[in-house]
Amino acid sequence: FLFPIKMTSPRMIKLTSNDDKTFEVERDVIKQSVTVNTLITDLNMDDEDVSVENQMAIPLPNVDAATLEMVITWCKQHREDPPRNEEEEEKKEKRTDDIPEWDKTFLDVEQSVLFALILAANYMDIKGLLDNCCKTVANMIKGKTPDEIRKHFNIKNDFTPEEEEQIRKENAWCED
Amino acid sequence: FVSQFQEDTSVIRIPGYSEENSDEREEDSEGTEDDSDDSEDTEEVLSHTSLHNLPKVVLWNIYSYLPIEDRMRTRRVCKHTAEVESEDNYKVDELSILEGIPRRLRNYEDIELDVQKIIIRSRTRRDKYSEGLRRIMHNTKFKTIKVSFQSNTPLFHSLLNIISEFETENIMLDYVHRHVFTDELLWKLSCNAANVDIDPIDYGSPMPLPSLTIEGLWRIYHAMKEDSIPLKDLTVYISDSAICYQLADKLPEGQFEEFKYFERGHIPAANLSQIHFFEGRMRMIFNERIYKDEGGSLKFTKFKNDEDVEKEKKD
Repeated sequence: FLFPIKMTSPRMIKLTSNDDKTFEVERDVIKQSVTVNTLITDLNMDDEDVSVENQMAIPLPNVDAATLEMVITWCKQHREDPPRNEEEEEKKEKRTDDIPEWDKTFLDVEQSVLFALILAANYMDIKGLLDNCCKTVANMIKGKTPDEIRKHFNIKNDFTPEEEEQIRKENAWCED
Repeated sequence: FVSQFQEDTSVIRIPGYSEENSDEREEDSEGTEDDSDDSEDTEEVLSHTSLHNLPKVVLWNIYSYLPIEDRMRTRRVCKHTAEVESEDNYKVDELSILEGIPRRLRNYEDIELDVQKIIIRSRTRRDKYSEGLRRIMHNTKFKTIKVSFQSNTPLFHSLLNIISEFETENIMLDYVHRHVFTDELLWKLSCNAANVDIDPIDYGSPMPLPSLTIEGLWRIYHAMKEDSIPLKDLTVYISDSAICYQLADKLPEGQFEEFKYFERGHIPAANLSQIHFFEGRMRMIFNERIYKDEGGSLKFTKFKNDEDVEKEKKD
């Protein structure tokens, strides 16, 4: 008895980073990127019966290869996640202590990498990844003074002393 | 635009990463190391991506996870974070202003600055706190605002006025001094909220009650009927039940239905007489205590559709 072998392998999609590297990723994995998913649908790529070799790659001019690789890794890890309901997300309590362990380790990277991921997640519209990145950054900001925040994120103070004083006054009600 | 990328040849196959994630994660971060080194080596502080140049939507997303106190502090970090913070985007479930603890507002016990909830408890008269509220309401949308206080200080007067200037879904006032609470204030609240509920705190008699006039209430009833204000539900405790009957007299003759019934509670004072008036999609209810001459609550409701009205009439 021969078990019937299913010949259709999972549909693959090609993505090209801004430094001209092309990645192949399962259609089912990359659907988490609203930007890519919309493009695939709009271009009717799902209906095309072309082999992956002949398929056109989707260019992502705002994402470099290293970042794209991480984004794909994240999407693979989260492929089983239930689809997000944005309305429900809106209603949910906003907390930062609910980042999944895997994501915590995954996002424990250099700040430049984290911010590159944020920009990519924002551009590719991957809400789950973006939210967990933003929570990570929020945790870095919490409890820090403006000076400590600047130091932590390597940001220049571009206020004039007068402007700084003005905001200090405005903030007096909630700060010391 | 896809076609120009079609000729691209360098195809990289990504092996199945999902099985052994920890190892691959390290590989990933190695892959991006070049990037991070670049930005750190350069002395130009502003060249890298960080809080000072993140897109607005991303910063807003980050802010949405910050307690208000931390969010306010980011305004002092740099111009970009300050600018983005000032733009309307923030949503908070509940703002509670409670009186009772005479300590400094900025003490943690006095002010709970949470992502979901802001609770201000204070008896202080210092005006900078009302300015603080105005600022926070300027770019924060509150679903529910609860106010509870007994005194008639200028601070609470101005806090209440500030609240009435901004849109919100529910306003619950747990008792407001009669001199603070006027027709004008109720009208302003009615123009900016869907539900307004004004309850006295039961401290025994004599209870000072909000002083509202029949003209003021009729103006609101009429505006609700005409849908010219967002208000859908108003509950207000009034001191003089005669006002209710005078309001009923204003209803157009022959165009409304009247239902009367009594509700017997466990204690005599809880016995209520209820009168329901229906006019189109509007309902007016008087809840009157029979035993004491204490006035009662007046409720205006605007129903969404006729089915809801019929359902209410049956109940």
